[in-house]
Formats: sequence, structure tokens, C-alpha cells
Amino acid sequence: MPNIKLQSSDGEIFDTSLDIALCSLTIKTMIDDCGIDEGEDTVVPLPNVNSTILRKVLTWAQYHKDDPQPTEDDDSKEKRTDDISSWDADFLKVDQGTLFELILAANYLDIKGLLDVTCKTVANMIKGKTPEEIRKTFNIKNDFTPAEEEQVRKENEWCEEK
Amino acid sequence: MCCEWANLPNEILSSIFEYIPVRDLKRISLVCINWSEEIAFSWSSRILLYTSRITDDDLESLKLSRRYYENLLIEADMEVERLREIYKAIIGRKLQYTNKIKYIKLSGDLAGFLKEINNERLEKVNIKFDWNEASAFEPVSFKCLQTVEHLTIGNVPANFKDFFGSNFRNLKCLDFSLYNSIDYFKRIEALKILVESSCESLKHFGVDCNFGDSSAPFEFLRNIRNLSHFTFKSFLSQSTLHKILLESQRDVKSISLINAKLADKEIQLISRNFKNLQKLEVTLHVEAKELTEVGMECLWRMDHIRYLEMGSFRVPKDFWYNHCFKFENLNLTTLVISGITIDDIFVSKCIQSVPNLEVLKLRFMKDTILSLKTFAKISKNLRALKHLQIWEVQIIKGIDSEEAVFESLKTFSLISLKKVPQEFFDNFKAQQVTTYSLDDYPHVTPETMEAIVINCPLIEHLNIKNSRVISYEVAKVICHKFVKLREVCFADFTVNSALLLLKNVKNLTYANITLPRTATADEILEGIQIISKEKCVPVSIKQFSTYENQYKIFLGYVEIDLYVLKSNVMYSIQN
Repeated sequence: MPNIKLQSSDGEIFDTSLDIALCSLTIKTMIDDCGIDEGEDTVVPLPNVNSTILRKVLTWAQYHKDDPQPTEDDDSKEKRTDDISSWDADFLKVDQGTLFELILAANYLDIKGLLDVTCKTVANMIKGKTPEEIRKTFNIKNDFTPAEEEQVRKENEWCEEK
Repeated sequence: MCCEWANLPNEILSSIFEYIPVRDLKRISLVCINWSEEIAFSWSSRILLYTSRITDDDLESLKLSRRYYENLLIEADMEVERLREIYKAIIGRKLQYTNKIKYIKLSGDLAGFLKEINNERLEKVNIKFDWNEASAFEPVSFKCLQTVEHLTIGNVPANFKDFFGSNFRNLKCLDFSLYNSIDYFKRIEALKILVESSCESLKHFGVDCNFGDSSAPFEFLRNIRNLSHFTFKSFLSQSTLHKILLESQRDVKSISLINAKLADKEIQLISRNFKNLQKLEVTLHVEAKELTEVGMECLWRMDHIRYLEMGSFRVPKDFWYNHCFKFENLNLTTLVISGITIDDIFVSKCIQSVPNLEVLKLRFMKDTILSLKTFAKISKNLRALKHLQIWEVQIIKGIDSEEAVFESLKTFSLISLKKVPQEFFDNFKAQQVTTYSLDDYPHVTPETMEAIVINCPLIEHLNIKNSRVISYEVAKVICHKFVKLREVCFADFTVNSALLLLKNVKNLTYANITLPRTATADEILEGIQIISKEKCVPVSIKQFSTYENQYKIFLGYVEIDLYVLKSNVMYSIQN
């Protein structure tokens, strides 16, 4: 498998094996569209990802490059968050800023597996907490007026779980 | 601050929220405006708007709502005018969203309502029909029904031919259960019309219906092309309907045969024909006698199946031992055995044959007695076990007890009226368990709870239901020792015990509490006022369902579903 060069937003060049880079559908599309020939010294610019994050993403992709592609028939699957592998759990033991940037990067690079596992991690941080605890955890400001808050609460009461 | 979680891109927020249970979502929508709006946008498919009791006030408030709904459940018999009003308030107001309604369950004036929707050019509607009076319809075609994907039929209108024939074209899921008085010939006719117009799209097919003559012509079922699941209630081995499906639908992934009169030859047919089968559920009819050890062995040895349920297999134990458990089944991850009496030997032999099991449910095991040692064996043999459910089993101490140490168990539920020896709780160790249920178990003592929390320190969800009145001492143990507790579901707590819990469980986010008959309104009111004062949180109370005695109380952010067995109590609280 040939290599490919990726350039992070802060200018660092990552010489990466192509099968790792292709975990990202965004990169795959860029390559398909530009028709990069083998051996050619093309650099793919990734202006939305800095070098620290890109390094993490590539580490993740290296480990997961042989994962099976997600099947289409998963619409009936239960959305679980307790099935994060121990490798991923360790990988995501990072500060909140890094987690935040990883999610953005996974979304921008279109890496479904990484996006899923980062979203699950955040969901686990949210689950079972009161709104105040969540605000504290994520440093979010309560921007509701009391009347708006009451309205949201009222709407919630009409809803039943399916 | 480098990251702004409040303003994550919408598509990312919505992927995160997909992993969160609806009950939590409701609370999370109170975090900040942006999250609330994203939830309003993305959660609709998981929520029903439940409109069985809508007051004028509610209607006004609905009109102000920013939400839209994919699902609509209207259960009460309402005047068309009233329906129309509600419909306009919640949906008609936002024309661009009307195509989001996917599920409607209606009784009352169905035709009148469908006409309303028809005007809105809906793209997708899932309908559960539930006609109480199968009154005649005008032979109209409802535009909104042409794209319906999921149809559950409880009853058919008298002129079903016009109605079915001109409306449903792309069903993916059909549940056909007829109970009203139309004759057998017409039932088959109705089924035929529905299947023929959807034979390319149908994926799930369920039948619970008597067609009279079992040799009736069902050849049209062969035309269904992409079926992945079927369910039969009252499966009869000689019925043409069932035979044709077993012969022709070889690609299905899951089969459920409920209340089946099943013979060996059907099991063999399933084993031979269904190479893609992943899930098989068989519950035998009381009079089913035709299944022998040959069929049992064949069933057990379908080794591509991952989920197997065997219900009411009242066969000699030798059949199980020599024709099932003798053979290792490595692919099975879920095993449900129900409706028979078993013992220690049975369980020991069973678990040795299914080493990779993740879910084990032993349900409705009347007169079954298991000793403590068996649980130790389960824990040793089934290393990957995540969910364990035991129903109606009497647990006894046995000769010598041994520790049962479960390494991966997440959920444990015990449903039993018989007293379990304290040694069971002392020896049942599951460090990873987060959900623990004691249902129909009237013997909870403080010692029980102490032992449970020592052995399962990570419990977040605790259910104690249908017990006798639970003592204050038990409540004390729960609020002081269960430090991870977030959600509780308690029945028969005295008012004092319930209030103690609400006051002291630090991280409580949800409580569902049934108070005993002796509770008085004054007690409850006074208690809640004290808590709200001490914790400085607002309280609001609202009746939330059609049952008169179910109330929802918000105590700050803690949501409490309060059930009181005596309705006049809540009446006085509300006033």
C-alpha cells in the first residue's frame, strides 16, 4: 500500500499509509476527485485539523483500519453506550478540549467509527446527570429565562416514550 | 475556553443525543437553549405526543410549542372538531414539518381525521388501526396512506376492499390480527389485497388470526420477496398459510412462533431452509405433543442462531440432556427458557453447553428450586454473561454455599415471591452491575440491602416493586449506602421512607414511587413542602396519564412519578 502526505492546519506533514488515511471518507473523496496517482508527491491539506489532533486521529485509524465496515442493517440495533472497547476507552481518556476537537475532526474527516465512539463517550458523560451538573461538566451557561424553562418542561410532560 | 459544548454543530449534537434515553433527554433539554432546540428537532422520532387528555390550557400551551412530532397517539374518543383543533395546534401550524408524522394510533373518528391529514400532503405515516367499531368507510383513497410503511390491523371496516385496495402500497411491516366478526373468506381476501400491493416492500409480517379452513389458498404469500422477520401466533403445523411461508421465505433472519402446535418436520424444515436465521422464538401450545427429541435436537443444533427462546417445552428431562445440552452451542448469545420446571442439574448441564452466552433468562419457572451453588456455577461457566433474569424460582441454601462472582454482569433481575436466603445476597457478587431489580419480592430487609450494595457497589438503577410495605430502615440503608444511585423505582414505600429517599439520595434524577393505601394527602403534601424548603427547589405537580392516580412531581430537576393507590389523596393534593 502506497503512502500519502497529509498536512495539518499548523503546517505539519504526516506521511501516512494510504489504507489508514482512507478511513476518512473526506480524504477518500478528495483523492477520488483529484485522481492522485501512485508515487506522486501530493499533499492533502486538512485546514480544519491541527497536528496534535491529527496525530491522535491517525493513531486511532491505525488501530482500527481492519475493522469491518458498518453494515446497513443496523437501524434496528439498540443504541448502546456500554460497548466501548477498552482500547477506545483508554484512547479517549483525554481532557475535554481534546475530546471536543476529536469529535469535530471525526465529523469533518467523516470517520464514522471515531465519531460514534466519541459521541458515546460524551453521551456517557451526560447520562443520568441533572441539567445543573451537565452545565458544570461542560461549562455551559444557562441561557433560559424562567418562563422559557417552564415552557420546555411543560412540553416534556406530554411526551411518552415509544 | 477553547471548546464550546453548547454550540457543537447540530449534526454532532443529534448523534450524541441518539445515545441518550428519552427520560434523560427531557431533562437535558433544560441545559441551554441550543441543546433544547436540537433535542426538539432530533428527538421527535422517539417520542409520542400523547393526547388522551388535553385541556384547553394544554392546547394553548401546545400552540406556543417549538416542538414538532413524528408520532401522534390519540387514544380518547374525541369529536372531529376537537381532533382538528389539536391537529392544527401541533402540526398544521408548521406545514413544513407535517411530513414528519410517522406514527398515528387512532380510535374515534378515524375517517374524519384522515381527511384532515390528507390535505397536508404527508409523505410518511405509520398507522396503527384500532377500530372499535368497524363502521363502513366511504370508498375514498387517502393520499396520506399511500406511503404508510407500518400497519397494524386490529379490525377492518366492512368495505375493506375499497379501503385497503386504494390506500396501502408500500408496507414494510404488517401485523394482521383480526378479531371482529367478518367471515373467514373475507379475512383471507383482506390479507391478500394488502400483501399483493406490498409484496416487494414487505419485511416484517405477523399473523394472529383464525382463517377457518386451514387448507385455504394462501399461494399469494410466495410473492413476498424481501421478508426478514415473521411472527405467528397460534402456529398450527397443518395450516397452509404457515407451510407456505416456511417453504418460500428462506431468507428471513428471525422467526417467532407463539403458542405453536409444532411437529418435528417443521423444525427440520426451518433448520434446512433458513440458513440466515439469527433469532428463533418458539413457545409451545399446551396441547402441543408432536415435537419429539428429534425436533429438540434439530432446534438446538441450528448453530447459526444467536438468539433462542424455548417456551413451555414440557418434555422429559432426558430430551434436554441427551438431545440438547450434550452438544455445545458456541454461537448462542441469548437463551430464554420459560414455562417449565427445572432444577440444579438442568441449569448445570445447560450452562456447560453454551459458554458464550451473554443473556440468560429463566422465566415463569413454577416449582423450580435452585440452590446457591448453581449461581456459583453460572458465574464460572458463563464468563461473558451480561444480563441475568430469574423469574418465579425458589432459591434455597443447599448443602454448601459458594461465592458467585460475575465479572461482566450489568443487569440482574430477580422476580419471585418466595423468600431468598440471606446467603444468596451475601454470595452474589457482581462488581459491574448497574441495574438491579427485585420484583414481586416482599421480603426485603435492611440486611438484604446491605449485602446487595457491598457486593454490587455500582448500582445506578434500583427497582423494588410489588413488595409489602418497605420499612424505614430499608430506606435508610438505600439512601446512605447506595452512593451511585440515580434512578429508583419503588413500590410500597411508606410516605416517610419515600420522603427520606428523595431528600437524601444525592444524585437522584428520576424516581417512580407507589405509595401504600394508608398514605394521606396531608402527609405527602407536608413532606414535599419540607423537602422543597430544605433543598430550596421548586415543586410542581401534574396529573400525567389517563389513570386518575398517577402524578408527576418535579422537585427541582428530580422527576418523580408518583402513584397513589387511593385517588382522593391526589385529588386533595392537586387542589
